[in-house]
Amino acid sequence: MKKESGIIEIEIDGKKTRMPEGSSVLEAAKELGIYIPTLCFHEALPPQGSCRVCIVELSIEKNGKKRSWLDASCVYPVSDGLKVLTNSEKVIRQRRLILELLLLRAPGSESLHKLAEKYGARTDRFEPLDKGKPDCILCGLCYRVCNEIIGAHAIGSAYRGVEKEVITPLNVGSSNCIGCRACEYVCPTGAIKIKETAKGIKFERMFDFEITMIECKSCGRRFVSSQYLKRLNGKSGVSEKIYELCPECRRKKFRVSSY
Amino acid sequence: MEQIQEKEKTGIDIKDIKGILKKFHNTSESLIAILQEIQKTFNYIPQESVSETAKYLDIPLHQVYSVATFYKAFSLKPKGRNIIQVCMGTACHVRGAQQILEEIERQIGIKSGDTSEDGEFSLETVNCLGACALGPIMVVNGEYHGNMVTSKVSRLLKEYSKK
Repeated sequence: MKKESGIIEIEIDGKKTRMPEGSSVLEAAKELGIYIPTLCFHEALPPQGSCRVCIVELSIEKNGKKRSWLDASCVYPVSDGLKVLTNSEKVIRQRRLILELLLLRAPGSESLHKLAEKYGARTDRFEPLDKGKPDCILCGLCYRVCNEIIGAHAIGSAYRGVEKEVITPLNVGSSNCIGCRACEYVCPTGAIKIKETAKGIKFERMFDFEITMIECKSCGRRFVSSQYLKRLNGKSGVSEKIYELCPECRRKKFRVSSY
Repeated sequence: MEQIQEKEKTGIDIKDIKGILKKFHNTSESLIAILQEIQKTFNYIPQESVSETAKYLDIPLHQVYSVATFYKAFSLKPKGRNIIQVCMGTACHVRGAQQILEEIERQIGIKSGDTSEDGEFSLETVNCLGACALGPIMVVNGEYHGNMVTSKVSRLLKEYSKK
């Protein structure tokens, strides 16, 4: 068979697939329907390989010699002749250790415990780490989504090494926050929790400030902030009036009128 | 609220900060140079200067804050009149740097990384000063004091607090 340019053949867990050059091993696995656990990966953002949970065993044969190593599949590009094992004994052993270490930072995270159970990670092997904010594994998804996708620049990282933290600049309530809740949505460990209050929404932990939300004209639920609407201004191309109603009421109203 | 109170306390003139900013190009590459200049002028990075710098360079506030907290050369808390750096590098460590540090901590009554209440001393540790042959070594306001022993600490501290 003639080799096409820009197309790479790769084998994952014995299954072969062809991927465009530059794709990651994780993408190839998804194509094949092979599950690789991830924490710091999100489709909306470029991969960054910070949590290391998605490690796989990679191997390549050259001149009859086989070389194999572990690497994060979300950032490792596919290459010709690359063989991948996603669930070998070595992978499971290392992934277990990674999960045990992550659990020291996020002992209260439900999603992490589920993953830990799956790989037999124990919680009693290491001394708990009394550093950082509860359940935050510093993957960076929250501030990356806030800065790179939403563009609100409300949160960021500060300090370094073991002292690193996700923080609002100067550690005071962020005036840049638009209350979109994207950070809460992408957080893989549930470290960011937001509750609805009488005035709007408030961060239960991680950050300490409240965002005032505007009431829905029909049901009275506070669902959107004025900063959010300002940012949306004109971009959606629909009438401003639509934002006077919360998504539920909007659906009800327009469902009736479309019949 | 907290932020406003903090501002009143520092009593830094915004005009001084703006004067520093004007000396640099308003591109994000100037960020570290600006912070260095502010650190040199005020002996720390006042809160107002963080937001002023962000405004001047037209970059997000969190970016300035990340850089200002990342490097040890920058401090967001006011530094003391005398800055003591104790080397904790391998060579100094095996020659008893820990005892020197503990003796200083005991005498001034502060932990490493803090500033004494009277604003006389700031104590910090560094990982190598590149003068391992003189270890254990400490630096006060840029002056090197090699072959340190705990008995020398008290005299040195007195000398500097007089100056």
